[in-house]
Amino acid sequence: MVGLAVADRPVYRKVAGTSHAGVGLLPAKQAVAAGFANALIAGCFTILPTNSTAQVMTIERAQPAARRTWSSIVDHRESRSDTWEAGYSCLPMGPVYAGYDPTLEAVKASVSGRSSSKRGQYAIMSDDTATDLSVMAAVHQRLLDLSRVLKEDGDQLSLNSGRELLHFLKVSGVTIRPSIVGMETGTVRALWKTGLKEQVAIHFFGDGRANYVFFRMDAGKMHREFGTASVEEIKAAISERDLWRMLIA
Amino acid sequence: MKGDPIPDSDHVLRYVRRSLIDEEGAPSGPAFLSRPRDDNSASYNWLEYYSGSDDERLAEIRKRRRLEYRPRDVLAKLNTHHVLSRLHEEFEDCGVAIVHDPLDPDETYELDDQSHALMLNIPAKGEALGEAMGDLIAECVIETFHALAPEEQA
Repeated sequence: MVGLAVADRPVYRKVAGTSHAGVGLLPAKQAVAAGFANALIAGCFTILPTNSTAQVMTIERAQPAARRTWSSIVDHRESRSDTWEAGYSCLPMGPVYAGYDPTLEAVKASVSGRSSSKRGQYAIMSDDTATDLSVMAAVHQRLLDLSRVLKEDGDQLSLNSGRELLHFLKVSGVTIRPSIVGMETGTVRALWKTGLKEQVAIHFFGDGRANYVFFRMDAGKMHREFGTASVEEIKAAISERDLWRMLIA
Repeated sequence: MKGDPIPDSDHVLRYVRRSLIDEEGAPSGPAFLSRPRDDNSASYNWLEYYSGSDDERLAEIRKRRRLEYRPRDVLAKLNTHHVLSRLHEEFEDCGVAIVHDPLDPDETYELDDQSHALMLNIPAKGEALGEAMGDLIAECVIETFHALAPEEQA
């Protein structure tokens, strides 16, 4: 029997059968419906492993509607355990491309399947974001790729860093895809550049702080600024310097 | 000779692991920073140390490598004068230099690595100043080569 817990803070547990401390990813084919994916984009979920030895799944700061969706998926999982996979990845964000996946309808049918009212619920949730989902999908895919690469090199993607990046994109309404690289420490760095060699780079430490590097033209001169600050302070600095133009089309 | 500056007209190669290469195949700034344990110096190879074509020089460098290259890792080529002048223009008093640092064989490595060079006074990964400098270095990359030789990539 799979339990469901809701926590105010992230809760991680080591679960048998996974190589990482308490994280798993729902397989895309299970896909979790658009609304659920959006909730994940918002960074409000931490999904714990779903294999047969996992006894607890934790949702972090889940919105009520998201909790209901999750509950329906858990219900579905319990009824379709033959198609559920575990230990798929170390990212907690889940598939974010369901909303744009041409197979969405099939996914919805697969996941919800039983009730049109549940499909309606997903649709409401999928409207719950102004963020360009195609950007989120691309970023998510990139994080998955980096996770694999880092793992092959003996490192591990920082879940908190990846989640901070996704949260930043979501709450800031970013519509321009950054390039993203993974440091040896597992943290991620996002970079937006213009043809004039201006840039906004943010290296998310995963603890609410980040390094920033701004290259910006002002009165025909390139200004280079860098430092370490909280993500909130960096957002304010981006606003003060009119740099959102590099992140939002 | 150890410690000599690499000539201005010459080039150095920096090994870049694939997690530090962006989606377009370009090395990112942090790839050029030192590791915290490396005392603010980053390893390079002096391309023109060996004679021959670039392919022949690359073959020598690959043969003598002391890191494990993997598929999709690259070697990023920089002109010594260009990268140093950009760094000194933008970060006054940074003290960055590129010097020859040949490595002899030892109990771990059978071959010498005579083309080994160091970029000195380069901050470590994780430092904001270093990331800014790294981003500027990344802008100076002339071209990249697969770290693995073609026959190794299969």
